[in-house]
Amino acid sequence: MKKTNILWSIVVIFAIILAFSPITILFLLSLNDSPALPLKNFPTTKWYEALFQFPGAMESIVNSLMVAGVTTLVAVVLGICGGYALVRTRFVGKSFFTGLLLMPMVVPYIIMGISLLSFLLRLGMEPSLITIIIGHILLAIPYATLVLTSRFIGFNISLEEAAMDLGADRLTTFRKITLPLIMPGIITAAILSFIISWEDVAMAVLLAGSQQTAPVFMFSLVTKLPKFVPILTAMSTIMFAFAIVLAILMRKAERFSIS
Amino acid sequence: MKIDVELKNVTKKYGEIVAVDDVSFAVERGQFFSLLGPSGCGKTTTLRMISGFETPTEGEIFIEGKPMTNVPPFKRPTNLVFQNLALFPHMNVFDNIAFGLRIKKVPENEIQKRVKEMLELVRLPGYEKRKISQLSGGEKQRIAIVRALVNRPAVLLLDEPLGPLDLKLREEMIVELKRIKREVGTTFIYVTHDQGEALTMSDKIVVMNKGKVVQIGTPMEIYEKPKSKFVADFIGGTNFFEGKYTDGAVEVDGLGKISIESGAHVSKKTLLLSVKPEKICIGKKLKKVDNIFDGKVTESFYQGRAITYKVLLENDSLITVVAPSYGMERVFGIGEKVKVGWNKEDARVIT
Repeated sequence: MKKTNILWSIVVIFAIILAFSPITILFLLSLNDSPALPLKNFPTTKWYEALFQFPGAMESIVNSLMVAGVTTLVAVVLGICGGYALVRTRFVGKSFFTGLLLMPMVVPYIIMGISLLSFLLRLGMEPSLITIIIGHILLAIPYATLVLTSRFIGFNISLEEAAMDLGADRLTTFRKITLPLIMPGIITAAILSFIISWEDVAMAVLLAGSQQTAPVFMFSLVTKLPKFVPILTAMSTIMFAFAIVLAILMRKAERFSIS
Repeated sequence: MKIDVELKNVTKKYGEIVAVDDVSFAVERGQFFSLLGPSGCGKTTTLRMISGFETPTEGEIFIEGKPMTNVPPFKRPTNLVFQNLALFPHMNVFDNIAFGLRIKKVPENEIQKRVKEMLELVRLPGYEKRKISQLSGGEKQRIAIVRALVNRPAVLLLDEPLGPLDLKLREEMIVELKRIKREVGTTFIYVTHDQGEALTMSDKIVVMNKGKVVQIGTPMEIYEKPKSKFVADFIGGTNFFEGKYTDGAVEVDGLGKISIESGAHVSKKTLLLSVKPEKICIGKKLKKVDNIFDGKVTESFYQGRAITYKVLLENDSLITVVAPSYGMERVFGIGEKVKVGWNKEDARVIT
């Protein structure tokens, strides 16, 4: 018994080291004087200072925040509608549409991006942040819908009926009963949608106009101006911190909404 | 007497399936009214039509004299206690009970007062801040009942709320429900498949089968004077005998004559008799009983308060006898020869 416990601990610790070592090294390098290990003059903020002054860097992070924010909002709303429709209603071709809805999960992003680009160009839309948002919504919808579908499957419809029986109309019932009870699903869907948008390069590279998202900015910096790569360690750390803080906040909100 | 709920020729069809078939009945104010029947008999659908969650395909529903057929549930003067209780898990006891009052914009101090009254009614004072997940089965039942009652509905509808409780708790809740009913005086419509619950609590029972009303009456009428084979068998189980009528008795093939109470029966007509298991006495010798037959015990179940026997009669029919354990000499063993008998007024003519 004791032996297996130790063995499992070793496995878990190994997995954690494996998962976190690149990020840890990145974090250390972002505060390091030289662009490679060993540590020299540690810690220093020189890469962060360089980053803040680098044209387009901060702007791309702001763009990313905006794109991810709008994507999250739209994907969650559509996910609620989709989950509700798939669980609560009956319509012709439901299983076919369910399959179709989940398609973007298996199609490579780059292929989705190329087809969306040619489609949007044909419609006469110029590549911009809006086209990136459209692309990201497309990527996020299947995940948001899946999460909320499972939430609706576990939902006891009697609770809504009880509210209506006690005098609440449909809207009040949705606000006071349905929404609070699917909140954990909404939060999970929101985290997923945000992260999908936040980390995407493939789609954003194809759909970006003059305004870039942070991953696209980083990608172009690597390919075009290799000598500035060290500032990317600082930028990556900031991006990572954003994602972590967001995830923690949402988990907190989730726990708060359940209790 | 004032009529609180009235159904006139109500039919509910789901496609080709007829769930409720031409049902009519009237519930008087202040009555404890039960809809009793086996699962799938249409009793829950009937209740859901009264509460507004289903719309009748044909017919009309009146509550307090007003037509309600197309009024949505949130505008009806009824409140429903759900089968699965449907307490809101994200709210505490107080917020659950106050839900209906807050929707109706009742002033907060009035809400405080009424919730407190309700918790006292079900003997759970001080439970305001409890979470639903902290309540026991019986406590949840009580909260679900007062969450509906606090709105002072014209009619309280209950959909098999005692189903998931264990036997002892169920018996406690039956006593509790009768007390609550007595204290608030509201009209109750209670749906159940449990004839024991219906008989114990009701002023009036509607027995339903296959979507139709088969009998309406007081618990005693339903039990003692069943009008159909179904009611006789469904309520408490029974023993059937079939034979031709000849002056004051029914001649059963292979068994002999069963004397019955005199009535306007046509001679030579085939009659169906029902004899309830507890109306039959069993013993080695029987005296002062109108009908006595020989039999052989094939099964015996000791159940504490009573003993149930299966007895094979000479015409090869198997009857059920429930003998009280009071004054019992001993439990008859399997294969033992016994006499069974009943008085003529206990042989009820069904058809």
